[in-house]
Order: sequence, then structure tokens, then C-alpha cells
Amino acid sequence: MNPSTPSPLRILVVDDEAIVRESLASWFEEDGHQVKTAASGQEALILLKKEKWDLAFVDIKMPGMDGLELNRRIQELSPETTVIIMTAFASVETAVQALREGAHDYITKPFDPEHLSHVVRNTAAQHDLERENRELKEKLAETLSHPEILGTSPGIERVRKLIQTVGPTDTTVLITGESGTGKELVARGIHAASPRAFLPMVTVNCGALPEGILESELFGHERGAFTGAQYRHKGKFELAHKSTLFLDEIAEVSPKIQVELLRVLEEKKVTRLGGTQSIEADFRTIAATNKDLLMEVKAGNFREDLYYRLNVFHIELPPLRERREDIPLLAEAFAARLAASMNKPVPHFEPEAMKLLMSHDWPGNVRELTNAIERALVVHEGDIIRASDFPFIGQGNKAEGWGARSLAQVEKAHIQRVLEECDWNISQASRILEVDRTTVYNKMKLYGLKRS
Amino acid sequence: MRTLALVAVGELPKGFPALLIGRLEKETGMSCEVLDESVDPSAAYDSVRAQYDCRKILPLLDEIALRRGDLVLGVADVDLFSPIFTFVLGEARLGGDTGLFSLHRLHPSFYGLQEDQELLWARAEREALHETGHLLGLEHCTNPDCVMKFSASAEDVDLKPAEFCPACAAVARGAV
Ligand SMILES: [Zn+2]
Ligand SMILES: [Zn+2]
Repeated sequence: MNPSTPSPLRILVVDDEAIVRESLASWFEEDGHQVKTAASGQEALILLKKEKWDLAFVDIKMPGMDGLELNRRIQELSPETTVIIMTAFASVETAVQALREGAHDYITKPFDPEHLSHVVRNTAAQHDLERENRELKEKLAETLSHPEILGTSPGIERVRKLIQTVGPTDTTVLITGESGTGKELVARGIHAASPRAFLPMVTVNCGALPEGILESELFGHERGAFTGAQYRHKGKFELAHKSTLFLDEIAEVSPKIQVELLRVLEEKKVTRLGGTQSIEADFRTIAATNKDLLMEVKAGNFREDLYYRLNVFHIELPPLRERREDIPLLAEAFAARLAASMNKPVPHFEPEAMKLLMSHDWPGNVRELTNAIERALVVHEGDIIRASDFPFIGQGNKAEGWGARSLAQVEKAHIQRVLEECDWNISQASRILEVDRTTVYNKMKLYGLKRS
Repeated sequence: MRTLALVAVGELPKGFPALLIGRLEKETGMSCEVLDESVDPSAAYDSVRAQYDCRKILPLLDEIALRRGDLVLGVADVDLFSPIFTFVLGEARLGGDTGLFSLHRLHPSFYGLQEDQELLWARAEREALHETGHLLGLEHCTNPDCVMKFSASAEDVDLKPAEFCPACAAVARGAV
């Protein structure tokens, strides 16, 4: 919000003198505020009960209910209304009494225009600030309500400790780990542990967008920067000002954008596409990938300078099969959360079911486990989840893998199994398979894979 | 088309109000002239406050406006007040025919500073244009780059330009 132009206020002027009511009202109205007047405390109370007021100017000396009494009633009735007492020099002491009883300030008649406009501007700024704070608190609550990182295995304990270490700093973090291990969760954890937590983290999935769109998503564009750019558009770097920018699937970024990224990360300044001015942005960067980024550098797919710029602090997430001891905790937590969202009672796992879950290799990691439990929750009967509620586990590990001999057969079986695990959600399957969606489509066509 | 008539209210520093014509004509597109007659503010003097009551001067300007059929902007160099304010820099009837402003609190010397004719002139242009804007029906504008932004003090006056923002300019042109 521009501090020189605070929002218009709803102002109530209460005075038995018509000249004061009229002069103040027209003065405030000319300044863009919404104003009503009341000639007495009783009249004011009616307006206060009917409508919300940001600011009330209350004359201290009125016949009937005086300003002191009206102030008390306003404090009870509408504590969010800022009360300014109007007084003659002679009654300043009474005004001070009103301040003790919750009035915000007093002004003496005749009014000093500078002081009066200062009072109004201050109140407006304060109301804007309170509104911003409210919004921030809501955003914060939203940020904090994100699922935490679950598990007690040494691998996950280590990750948690790294998050606590690096979180409060401004250090750039690279998170690596297989698909579905929870890299975004770690990024959120880092953000939540930082002083930037009160603004929402800004996420860009670099793998999901074609180069042109990703470029304008990241850096923004001015109106008319390219065909279809009808409006100016703020980039994610700008949106992440004072917050954290999470660049997911960073390895998928094209060489051209790698160069631009490097420059923005070094200069902390962004120029919108088609723009000439560079805009300063104070953001913290977290990047993630399921690829071995150093291998990508060696293969010439990823710039070495950008790699070092991103890999200042490294967090490697263990695959689920390397922390099997966390599976019961995860399974129960997911079951409880999902049951709650489906309005079902929280189910128990029979020991056989848990054993099965712990023996599976989970190539799709935590995400795959969540999906499996979600499906089991739909098909299970009673309040017990049984091994038979996971028909795809086990089969895949043994029979299909060894039954198929040719590479094509193995590929077909593998894709089919992953699709079934994802309930034939192709986007999800493509993430687990680490190929793009088109590839999954083409393979499905090639092998005649269909949901039965 | 109506003209904007500038009237001296009491004694004015050398060159005023003629110095204001160029700016007013350029920004409003109205033709502008300085009247030979002037207005004596002494009847509006309040001996308790040692100031001049703005609302007692405006009716004197109303008479001239009625007689001539022009818009009339009075220019004074005395300290103006309105009953509920300790002072006013100027006052105008919104969308009406008459307005008034004073150089009194625009002088740097009023604040104990070295007198500066250029600065006084620059401030006077803004105040004259601001009150004329009110005559053309303009309310206060929230754009800080607009002469219709409210100014409570000479310092505020210095912060804004001597021109309308595009939105206010459009309304002003429509009124003219
Ligand atoms: Zn004004
Ligand atoms: Zn304007």
C-alpha cells in the first residue's frame, strides 16, 4: 500500500454545533472519506449500532449525553472505532479523562488543519496496518497448517535438524531426493522456520511450463511484451519479495532461462520481459530436483555456475525404502488425515497390512504410500485396513517383475503398475516415472494400456 | 465561455495576481484576466483572533461574480481563518463561482525563513490552480502527482506539481 494515499475512512462527526458538523463533514468529504454527522450522543449511538465506523470525532460538551459518556459507549459497542475527542481549550482536562477511557486522541477547537489531517492520515494508516496484519495472520495460519514432516528415523531426524539450522538464515538451499519424498514439504519447513514465514512462500514448478511461459512466470512481463501480453504481469521473483521463492524441478530449466536465473540470483534485481527498468527484489531461494544435478552439470545440461549458486546448502531426502521404520507412523497419520477429510472413522491397520506396507519398496515414495492408503480407505470394510486392501503391492514386486523378460514387457508392466498405483492419474504417474505426460500417453497407446 | 477573473483582496506583493495568469490559462484552458477593482477585507477582520474570516470575504466576491457572470478567484495576503479552523490556506465553493486563497502562509518568511520570491510564486500558482479546480467541480484527489491533492501546509503545497493529474484534467476540461 502506498503510504501517501491511505484508504478512505468511514467517519462519524458528533457535535451539537451545526457549523462544526458541516465544516468537518465537507472537509472530510472533499478528501474522499465517507462521512455522516450526528447532533447528539443518542443520534450517534443509533448510527454506531447500524454501521461500522473507522473514526468518530466526538465533541466533549454536548447537552444530554456528553462526549465522555459517548466515548465509553463507543468503546463497548464498537472498540475498533478510533475515537477523537473535540474540545475547547478550557476542557482539556476532561479530554485527558477520555483518553484514559480509551479515546485515541483529542483536538482543540478551533482545529489546526495540519494536525487534523495528520490525525486522519494516521488513523487511516493504522487501520490499513491492522487490516494487513489480519491478512498476514490468516496467511501465517495457512502456512503453519501445512502437514509437517513425519518420521523418527535417523535419516528424517537429520533432515529436520538441517531445516532448523538453515531455516532462520537467508542461505540458498538445494533439496534433492527421489520423486514423492516430500521436497516441497521440506521447502515449506525451511520457509516456516525463517523470518520470512509471515508471507506465503511462492512456488514455481519449472518442469510443468514451456520455456516462454516459464520465463514470463519467473520474471514477469510488461504489457505488449509479446503477442497475448495484454496486461503487465508481475513475475514470481517480484511476488516473492520479502518471502521465499521455491523453484521446483530446477533441472528442467532450459539453458536460456538458466542464464537469466543466474543473473537474477546474483543481482537480486529483475527486469520484466519487454521492460527497461530493473526491479529490486529481496527473496530467498530454495530449489529442488529429483535429478542428480552434478551429473546434469557433467552431461552439459545444467550450468556449473548456476549449480554452485543454488547448491549453497544441500539437503538430501532419503527415499522411503531407506527409512522403512517410519512407514507405520506415516501410514497411520495419512489414514487419520484422509479419514477425517472423508468423514469416516479412523481405521486401524491389521499387522499383516502393516508388514506388507513395510516390505514394499515404494518407488514413488511417500506420495505413492499416500495414494495406496487413500485407495485402501475407499475399498476397506469395517474399521480395519487389511493386507487385501492393497492388492497391487507384492504382485508388482515379485510376479510381474520376473514374469516379464523383454525390456518392452518390463516397461509395459512397470508403467501399468505405476498407473494403477496412481489410480490412472497420468500427471501423477508421469512424476513418479520421471517422464513428461506426453511420454506416458504415448507409451499407453503403444502398449494398449487402459483402465479396466 | 466564461473567463476567470482574478481580484486582489487587500494589498498584494508586487506582480500579484497578474503573475498567476500564465499558469491558470495553460492548465485550465480558460481565459483569465486581472480586474481593476479590488476588495477590501477589513470588514472580515476578527480582532480576537487577529485573522480574517474567509466566509465573510467570499460574499464580497460573490457580488462581483454575479455582476460579471465570471468565475472569480480572490487573492489575499492576510491570514485567513474559518470558524472551526485555526487557519485556512484558501477556500472555494465546490462547483460554484467564487474562491479565495491567501499568500500569507505561503511566504517562506512566515516560517522564519529567508524570503524567496520564486518559491512564493510557485506555491501561489499551485494554490490558485487548486482553488480554481474546486470551482470547476473537482474534489480532492488522492494522486500525489496532482495539484488537487489536499495540502494542509505550505510544505504540503511544495510536494505537489502545478498541474492536474490526467483524471482531474479531464473533469476540468469538461467543466470549461
Ligand atoms: Zn482543496
Ligand atoms: Zn487529480
